[in-house]
Amino acid sequence: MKPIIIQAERLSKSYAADGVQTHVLSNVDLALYEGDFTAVMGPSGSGKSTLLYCLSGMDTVTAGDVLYRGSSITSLREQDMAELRAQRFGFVFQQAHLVSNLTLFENIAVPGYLKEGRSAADTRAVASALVDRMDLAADAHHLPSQTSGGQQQRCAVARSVVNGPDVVFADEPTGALNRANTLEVLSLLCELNAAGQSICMVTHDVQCAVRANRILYLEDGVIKGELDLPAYREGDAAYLKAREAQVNAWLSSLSW
Amino acid sequence: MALMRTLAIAGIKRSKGSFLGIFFLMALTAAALTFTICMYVDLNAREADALAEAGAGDVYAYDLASSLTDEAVASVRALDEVGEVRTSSVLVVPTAFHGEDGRDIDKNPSSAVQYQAWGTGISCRLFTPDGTGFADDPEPPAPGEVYVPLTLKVSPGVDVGDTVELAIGDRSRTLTVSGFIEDPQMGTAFMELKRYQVAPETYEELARDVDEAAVAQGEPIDIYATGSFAYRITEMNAFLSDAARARGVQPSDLTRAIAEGTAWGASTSGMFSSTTLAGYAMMVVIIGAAVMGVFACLLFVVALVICTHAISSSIEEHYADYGTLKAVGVGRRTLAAVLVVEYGGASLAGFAVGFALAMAAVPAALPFFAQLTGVLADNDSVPVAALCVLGALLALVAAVVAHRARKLAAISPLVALRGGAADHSFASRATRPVTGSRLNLQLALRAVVSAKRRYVGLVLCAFLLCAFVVLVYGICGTLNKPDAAYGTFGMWKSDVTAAAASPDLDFDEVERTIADVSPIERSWQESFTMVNLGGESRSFVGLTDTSLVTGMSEGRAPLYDNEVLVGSNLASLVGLELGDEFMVPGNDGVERPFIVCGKLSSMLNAGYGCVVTFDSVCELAGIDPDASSAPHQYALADPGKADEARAALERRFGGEVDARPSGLFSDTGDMVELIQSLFVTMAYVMALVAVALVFLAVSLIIGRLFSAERHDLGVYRALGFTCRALRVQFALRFFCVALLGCALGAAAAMLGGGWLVSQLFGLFGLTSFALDANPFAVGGLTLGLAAVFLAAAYVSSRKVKRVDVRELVAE
Repeated sequence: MKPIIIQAERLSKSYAADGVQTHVLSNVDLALYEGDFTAVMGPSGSGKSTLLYCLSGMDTVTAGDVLYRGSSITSLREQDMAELRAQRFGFVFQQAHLVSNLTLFENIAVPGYLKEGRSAADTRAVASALVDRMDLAADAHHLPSQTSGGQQQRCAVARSVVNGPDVVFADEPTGALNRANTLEVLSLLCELNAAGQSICMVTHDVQCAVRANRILYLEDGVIKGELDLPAYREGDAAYLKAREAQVNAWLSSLSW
Repeated sequence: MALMRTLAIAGIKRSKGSFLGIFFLMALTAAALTFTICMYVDLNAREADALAEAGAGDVYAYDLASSLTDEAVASVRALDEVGEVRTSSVLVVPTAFHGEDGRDIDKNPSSAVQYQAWGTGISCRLFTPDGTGFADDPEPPAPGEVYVPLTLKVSPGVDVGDTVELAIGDRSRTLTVSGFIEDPQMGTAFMELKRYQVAPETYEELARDVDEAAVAQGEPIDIYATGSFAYRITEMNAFLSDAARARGVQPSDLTRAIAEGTAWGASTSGMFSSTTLAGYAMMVVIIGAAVMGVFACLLFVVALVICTHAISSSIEEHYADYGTLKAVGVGRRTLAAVLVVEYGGASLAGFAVGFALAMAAVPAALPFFAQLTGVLADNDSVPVAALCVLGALLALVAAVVAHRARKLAAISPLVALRGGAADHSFASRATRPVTGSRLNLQLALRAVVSAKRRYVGLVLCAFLLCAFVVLVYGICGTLNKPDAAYGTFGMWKSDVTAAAASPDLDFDEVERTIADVSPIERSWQESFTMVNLGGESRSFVGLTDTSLVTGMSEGRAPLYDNEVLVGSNLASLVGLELGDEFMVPGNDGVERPFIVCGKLSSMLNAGYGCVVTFDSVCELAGIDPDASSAPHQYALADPGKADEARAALERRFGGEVDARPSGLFSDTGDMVELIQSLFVTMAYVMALVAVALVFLAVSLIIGRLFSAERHDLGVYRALGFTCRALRVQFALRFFCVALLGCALGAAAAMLGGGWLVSQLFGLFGLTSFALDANPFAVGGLTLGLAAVFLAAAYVSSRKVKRVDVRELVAE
């Protein structure tokens, strides 16, 4: 049994707007395991992103609890939450969300400087290695505005792992990319996962989801199904096609 | 119109904080400007009105009755320029004040107190007991009572119920102060000469005593060489004829005409134009107005800078909205007009409120200024000057807004379609990479250099505020040291005076007695006379030790009897330079040649006074220096023991010595203290306002920065930066930028501040004002002000807590 990194217990989330209460998540129970690449799928408005941000502590919960390695994070102070984000979690958003006045290299390195017990020189070395690994060396010292969307998103992926987080949360990381850049980013995520990085990714794209070894299907704020797959390996088109077919069949059974 | 109204209201609602800040700044500016202008205009107008109401002439003169005879008056009246001449009889009596409890009040038993019968001479108005208005039907003083100018309340600190002791020969009389009068001619604290008014019957009694004393003591040589004589004088008010006035002849022209056209006028040393008298009265008003005016202008510039910054930020922030509006057909001019309406409207509202506040404050402040100027102004008239200035500033605001609105032209509708994502470019930024050491500082500097233009306004604000603070503190630092004001204003201070009341007094013994209490640092004798130069009377001071004079802008103090140190304003007026020959008429009418050995930077006679050797001034006054009864003055090593030394003299010599202070500037102590406290108070108030301004400016600028950088802030928070770290970054940004501006401002103030202040005080003769530019103090102020920016930024950036990382999801 793999160790649990993140666990949600009867997690509920609702918003009140103009006197109308909207329930986004209802009593969700789930666990994210170490080394897993978990994909969360579901139709638009199902609560996928909300679930991701509740699990990562970026959003507050209405009821229930979220545990990180057995400790609740729902009532952490701002300082502790910031530390958790800096030291334990990594994030990749749909947009790259890079800091506009920092170069790509600096965007990767800056959160790295927050890492406890590591020198600035070591951080720079880690960042350099990530720059090379993400194939960003040529543009490392360019500002985000001077680079392409794919480069920016690769940079965002590199940034998310610069501190060696326990888990990387990715919210539709390829949603704003063209096909070539999408494959590039997915390949990077798989590579990271293969190296042992736990990932939780929200997506509505089957091509993305098939890279995961575990898929959760969310609908109307409730987890309706879960599919375990063998670990993804880079393979030929037939392998990918077969995996897609399996996932599509499962989704069809859930009225996707 | 409906479109503009809709857009303007929406814009104001959207940026309430900015408009509120601009409103507040403009209100402060308007209040300070209106207050200053109203004070200046009202007081000057009142001085002119009061002179006219009182029946004061264009030229005022006084002289011994034996000199200003009927023939002399007739010769003045015969001049073409003269329309009317009025004369009245006045008594000059040595005077000392005592409090109700009998204590001495006056430090200087001046010989220059004129007693006049109520109803003769000029008509002075009587103040109400609270000093805030005039008595409607003033009663003449009762027998045994006296009315004195209001300025005596401040210096030497006289109040109703105190008594005045008059020394007339060997007799003494006591009168009780029963009221204060407005004397526009000599009422100011800056005129040593003072006029008191008594009941006609009291005047007659005093006149009899004076005449009897005159028989015993003889006639004084001239009005400034009388020692402790009581004597009669005649005062004269001469008026310009209508024809002369129509020709544009000025009061100063009339003094010159009288001096050149009459034998008496050529010899008298007691003649002043009304312009000169008004200048003395308004001296402190002009200095105060100049400082306040500079401060108000500073406020306005800060407001304008913030206005400019707010407009630029607003355009940047709402790029997409402007693009959308342009896409739907709203023209650039309309959008620019909306901005002008928004910012002009906020400024107008601020001006209106500030104006109203100032108009409410001015009446409360006027009685305070009456204690300095001697005249009580009202502000019943419409403040046209203030309204004109505010109108001009409003037009300037509108012009600046319209100019900044040119940026709207660069916005294309296409930008709106891209969701407002403009083409960012960072043409210039520091190449220094973010290396991780001192991360917050590095990120702060990166943020600054990445968007330098956003911080230009901040640099300018810091520059102006620091320059002003350093300037004001430099002035205060110069004035606020013990007795420093004497040196600063080009004066010298006598701690103990000893005048021989008996011919047998041994001054060696006097000095030994004083030295037993405190070592004597310097001793000297000084004498004073007025000299007629071109019709106007100018002060000439003679010293046995001219090294006392330290306020030289050029040259040196006189060492020889034919040398003169000339007041800077007199030097400019006459066109004197070092080495020039300066012909000075003595009281005998004979001109004596002097060589200009230096220019005096001193408020002595408002820059028209001169210093010569003691023997020279005695010669000008027609006194034998060896027979002079000029008191001996002593400066002690421990000035705090002056009272003790005086008491020792009185114990040792009794009636043989008169130890009452009579040094030339000994009665200016209270006034100097008042000026010191005025400046120090102004400095503290302005420093407080400056700090408030910093907080306001930073709050407004930071609010705009938040809008522009909201996304980056969200990213930082998502990456694990705490709110505190982000606030520290903001504080460091503002500190670094403000430090640059403050350092430039402090440097500018240190380099040019002395010159600037000298230009201001130079109006009154003080042409070389040395700011207290202690580098440590200036450095401390610079760092301190930058630290205020840091604190303000840290406090204002608390809004960073409101930046929610979930907004990144929403995008």
